[in-house]
Amino acid sequence: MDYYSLILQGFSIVFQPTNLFLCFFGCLMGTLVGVLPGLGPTAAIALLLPTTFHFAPVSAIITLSGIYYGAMYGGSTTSILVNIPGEAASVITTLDGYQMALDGRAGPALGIAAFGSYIAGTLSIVGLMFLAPLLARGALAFGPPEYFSLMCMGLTILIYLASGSMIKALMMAALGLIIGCIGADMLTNVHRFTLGIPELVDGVGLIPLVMGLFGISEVLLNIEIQVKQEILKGKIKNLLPNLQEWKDSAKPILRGSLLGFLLGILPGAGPAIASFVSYAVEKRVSRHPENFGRGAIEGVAGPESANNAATGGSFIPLFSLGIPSNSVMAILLGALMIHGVIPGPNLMQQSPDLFWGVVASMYVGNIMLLVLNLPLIGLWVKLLKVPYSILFPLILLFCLIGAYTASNKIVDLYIMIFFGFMGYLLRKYRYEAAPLILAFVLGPMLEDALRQSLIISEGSPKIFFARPISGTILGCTLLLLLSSLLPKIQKRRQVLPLDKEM
Amino acid sequence: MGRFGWRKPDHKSGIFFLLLGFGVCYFSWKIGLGSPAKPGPGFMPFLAGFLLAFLSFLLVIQVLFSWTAPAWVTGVQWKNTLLVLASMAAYGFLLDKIGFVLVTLGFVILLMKVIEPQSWKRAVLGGIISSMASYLLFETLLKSQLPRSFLGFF
Amino acid sequence: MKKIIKILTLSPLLLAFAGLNLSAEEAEKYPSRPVTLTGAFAAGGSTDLTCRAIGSVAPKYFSQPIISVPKPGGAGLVALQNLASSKADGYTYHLGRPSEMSIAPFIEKMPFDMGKDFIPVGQVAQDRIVFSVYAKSPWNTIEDLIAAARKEPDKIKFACSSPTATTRLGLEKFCHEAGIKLSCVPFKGGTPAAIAVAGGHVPVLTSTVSEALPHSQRGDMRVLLVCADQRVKEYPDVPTAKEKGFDVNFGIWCTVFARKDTPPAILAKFEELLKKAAEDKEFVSAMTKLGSEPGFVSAKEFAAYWPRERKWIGEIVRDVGLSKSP
Repeated sequence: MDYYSLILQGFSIVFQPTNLFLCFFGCLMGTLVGVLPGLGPTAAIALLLPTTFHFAPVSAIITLSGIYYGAMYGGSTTSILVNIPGEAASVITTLDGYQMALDGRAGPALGIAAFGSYIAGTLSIVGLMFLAPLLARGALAFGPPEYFSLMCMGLTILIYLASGSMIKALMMAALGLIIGCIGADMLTNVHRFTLGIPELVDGVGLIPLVMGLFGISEVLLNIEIQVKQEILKGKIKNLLPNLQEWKDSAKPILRGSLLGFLLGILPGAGPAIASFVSYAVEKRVSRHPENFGRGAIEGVAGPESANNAATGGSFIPLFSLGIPSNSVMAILLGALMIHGVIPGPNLMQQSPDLFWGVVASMYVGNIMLLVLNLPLIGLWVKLLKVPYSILFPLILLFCLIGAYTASNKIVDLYIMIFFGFMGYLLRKYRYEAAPLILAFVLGPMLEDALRQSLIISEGSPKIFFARPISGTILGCTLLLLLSSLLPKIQKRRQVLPLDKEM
Repeated sequence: MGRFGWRKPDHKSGIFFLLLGFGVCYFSWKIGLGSPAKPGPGFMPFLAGFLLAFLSFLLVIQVLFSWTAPAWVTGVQWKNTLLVLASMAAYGFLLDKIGFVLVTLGFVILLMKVIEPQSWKRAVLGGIISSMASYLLFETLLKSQLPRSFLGFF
Repeated sequence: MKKIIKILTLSPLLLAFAGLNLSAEEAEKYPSRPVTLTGAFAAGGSTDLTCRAIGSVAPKYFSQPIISVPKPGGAGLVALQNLASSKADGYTYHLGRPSEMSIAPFIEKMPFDMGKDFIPVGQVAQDRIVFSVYAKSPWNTIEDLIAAARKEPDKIKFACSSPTATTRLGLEKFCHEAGIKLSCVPFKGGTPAAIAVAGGHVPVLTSTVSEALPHSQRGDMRVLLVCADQRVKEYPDVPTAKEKGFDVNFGIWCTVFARKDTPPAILAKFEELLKKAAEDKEFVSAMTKLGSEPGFVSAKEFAAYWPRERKWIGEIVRDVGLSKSP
């Protein structure tokens, strides 16, 4: 494949005025959507899909892709500034990003998030370019047993997410598992814990849960602290990361990019899981893991890079196999089909214009996003200086609107409020919410994979160990578990008294 | 707070989760556990409930014998918290009855006046600006469908 | 004061009286407001896209816009409650699929009598169900599969997008006709199910044409049968159920429903619109690109067919063991 000329061809397509404008429009919408909590890229893409009908296929895909990775850039903004994750992929960023903001380092946090996202996005596009067909076939090798093992490993990573009491973190994970079970059982359709509320038959939505548990609870806590305003007013330091912060972030960004890219390829995984895993990895390899949860920049650099790299990776199964790896890709698939393009292994050969045009637009889009987001940092930081008594109704308002627009169901608002209250109490009693979310996301996937595998194997658990990929992953999980129990690791994870005043 | 006192916060939360875990176990058992070879709908929640109960038990024991430093919390401020939550619930309740713009207006004004009282001017101004701005943003720009009031046009 | 009270109490009566006369005029003036078309599935899915396709060709035949409003949730309950509680004035319709209109009533507690509370207005398209196998499996024809299944009842596994999916019920009906029993491995969605089969983890797949297409084109799957009376153009070499002697001409239809008591005159007008839309070239090409089969079925024809379908679905749901939740 003559990559050089193909890429040039791609760029020539992108630099047509219409496409350039659409790329910018997509990125802008994506950032906006990412910043606004609740309205995720899936909904935005679905809403804007009809407006792209009249454009050429390549233009339509450029716009929609722009929304997707733009949202990843934007999602970190509210996580860092007000502890409200815009979507699942930004939850992890709240752990350290928000702490950095409280420390007056909102600027560097946002800056590293933006740069990390850019580097990761670009690297993942390179990966997409060269590795697409190869890796896509690998994704097909993952069946239910492999997913089960993967989820086991994911849950084991929980151990690394906890910064306080391990028992309490595990309790939160158990609670997350339980909340994840709410709804109609996948296999038998039995209603579990739905308390007679019809909307709960589909389960608790991730968006209301996350926004309530993190965002609303944060606001409720902050209202109690009159001192808060002075803290934020006084300490806004520089707007961009300093040299030390750059040095600290370099490796996390690279690791996050690789991790995110690989996880993005797997159908069902995606940016959220990539961000969780990256956080755990960074904490594990860090020389100062006790800083995590208190403003470690690695805790922002890694996950933010991972979630952007995952977006690049998630295009691979779509373009090479015609398989969407998450809901956004599913809509893109629909968009492609409407335009008469059948994604598949022949896509790259049959519609090289489309493929390379989109790839080139991703490069351009990432640059646009960097340029868009950096100056905005100054704006966001100024926003933090607004007195909290004026700010908090607006934050709550955005949460309410965001939750409503995500699904158009009033019940989701009540769910969010309920979890806001729960989150407030949990924080008061010193429990962490992050393990809950992780278990909530992974638990159902684990359960489904377990039951599917057992149907396939007709009850025999051998299937998890006999298959090479699954067995390997389980082996690694076991190693991870054992290594965490070693005393050496225990010492690293000292339980320090939490000194942040509640 | 004596070393073996039962009023430590971790005790309260520990016992709460212990009971919750048992409750979940019970209801999961009712739904049907199936067998390890063919897990039923109650299998996973039962395990999770059991885990929760077991860990809560460990927590209570741990704190009882002061193996770890007890978590200290500042008191729960019920009044403001419940007020905010209630106003949010009211927002949800009234949203499709009196429409987006009016509810937003009322909500912002209420919160601005009650929690950390601002002047009427500020509150009303803030309310109007936020409802207009968010309406423009969500309805016009993003084309999400927000509920309208009985007045029809907004 | 007395006068004002008189006027106030009389005016509702006057309005009501006017209202009675209005309905005849309303039918004449219909449509005078935009029309809402709901769907029981999320935005961006095939139901929503079909609604939007109708909406985009409607301006040619209808003087008011038709707006697609997805109302997912509760296995269709949310959308149906919305329809049932709307005014019977012909401005709210629902684009239904077998999933919530025929199957869900047997699975969930739905406070409706489907046949009486909802009136079909017209079918505009349908998705055909196909049965495929993993490319490296030993079965080349549907007869091979049936023979193998007869030897080992309940052993051969098949993947489907959910335990209550229309595609699953189609396969179960087929199995019933063929006298075999296959074991169901449900997934959350058509794509994960198809991927599992394409990767060889589960040998058989029941899905729509569009879900199977990318995998069969790549050569990872072989399509053995399509549930139709005539061959479909995506798979001209695949035999139909009819050819093989099975009565499984069951597609995943897209039919517009109105709530009961909607004036027939208004329904007739809307049915006319649907007919024209379904035959519109732009609509046909949009549906084809989505992998659906456009085609109009009149309200009368559908209304005759629908109770029969609900009957056999109820039987199969019972046979397969999917019960109403407690």
